[in-house]
Amino acid sequence: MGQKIHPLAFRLGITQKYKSIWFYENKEYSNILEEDHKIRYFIENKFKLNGISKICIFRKANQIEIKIESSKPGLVVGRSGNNLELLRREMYKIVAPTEKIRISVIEVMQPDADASLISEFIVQQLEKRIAFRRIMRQTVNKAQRTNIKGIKIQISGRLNGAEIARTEWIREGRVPLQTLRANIDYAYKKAQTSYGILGVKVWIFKNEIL
Amino acid sequence: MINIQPNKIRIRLKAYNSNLLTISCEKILDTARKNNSIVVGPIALPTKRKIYCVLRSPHVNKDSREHFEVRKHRRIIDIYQPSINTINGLMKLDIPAGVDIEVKL
Repeated sequence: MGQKIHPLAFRLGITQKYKSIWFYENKEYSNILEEDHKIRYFIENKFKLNGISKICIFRKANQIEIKIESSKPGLVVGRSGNNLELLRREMYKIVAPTEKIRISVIEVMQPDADASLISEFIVQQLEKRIAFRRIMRQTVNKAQRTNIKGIKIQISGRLNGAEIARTEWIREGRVPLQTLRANIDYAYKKAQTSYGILGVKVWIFKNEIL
Repeated sequence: MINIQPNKIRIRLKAYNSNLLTISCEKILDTARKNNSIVVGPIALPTKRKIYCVLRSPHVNKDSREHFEVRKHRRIIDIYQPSINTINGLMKLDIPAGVDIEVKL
């Protein structure tokens, strides 16, 4: 058979929006791409425990707008906007000096139906050495209480510290990866344990966009 | 201050997404037409396509690759005999991110 393409990349023009929207000529393209990567890396590391789902970067003429989608926007913004101010100051260090930066934080309405947040939750549980099968079952039950049509979780690596690595997965409902009009949310996160790295993949089938 | 009214404004729009471009073009045409200037456009220049061929695998397997492409869509809008109202309207216009606009007098 073959291997599976990244479901978000597969649907980019269709049911999936881009996470960075800007236009630059070839000369500046690589620099801007690097800045985007540094911004994302910084925000993800700084707010790891605050449930960051998506970071969208929009650039217009000399202006950067960063939209952070988070399940705990209160923690991201901090008391009376403290954290946001600190974040903005750090951004100014990363980004070229002539840019204006606007940061906005949006709340994720259903954190149990978001692949990034679910996979981050699983990663944190795995790093606390909880049995992976229980984690998977709990997560699937939590997700089924929201109105998604299908969820699939795959964890691979040295499960429960075993010497031989293996891959385990669980699926509820349907997850049609070949259907382009299916709105599928996907995330891949790595859990660092004392036995090595466990890879966590989560697919969520939300609805079909006709 | 001498106020020189330019004869023609040429607006070049570039984007990676053609839908965004058509929306921006319509906005510009609307503002120009409301202020009663003669507008020509949008004229679509040929789309430039850059194809990147990369190896699929992280190690060896030279024969299996994947193609990605980046498309640059381009449009030109010419505005003749623009009034000051047109220019003001255009400056205030809010174009969505992802469209690069160059205005030449």
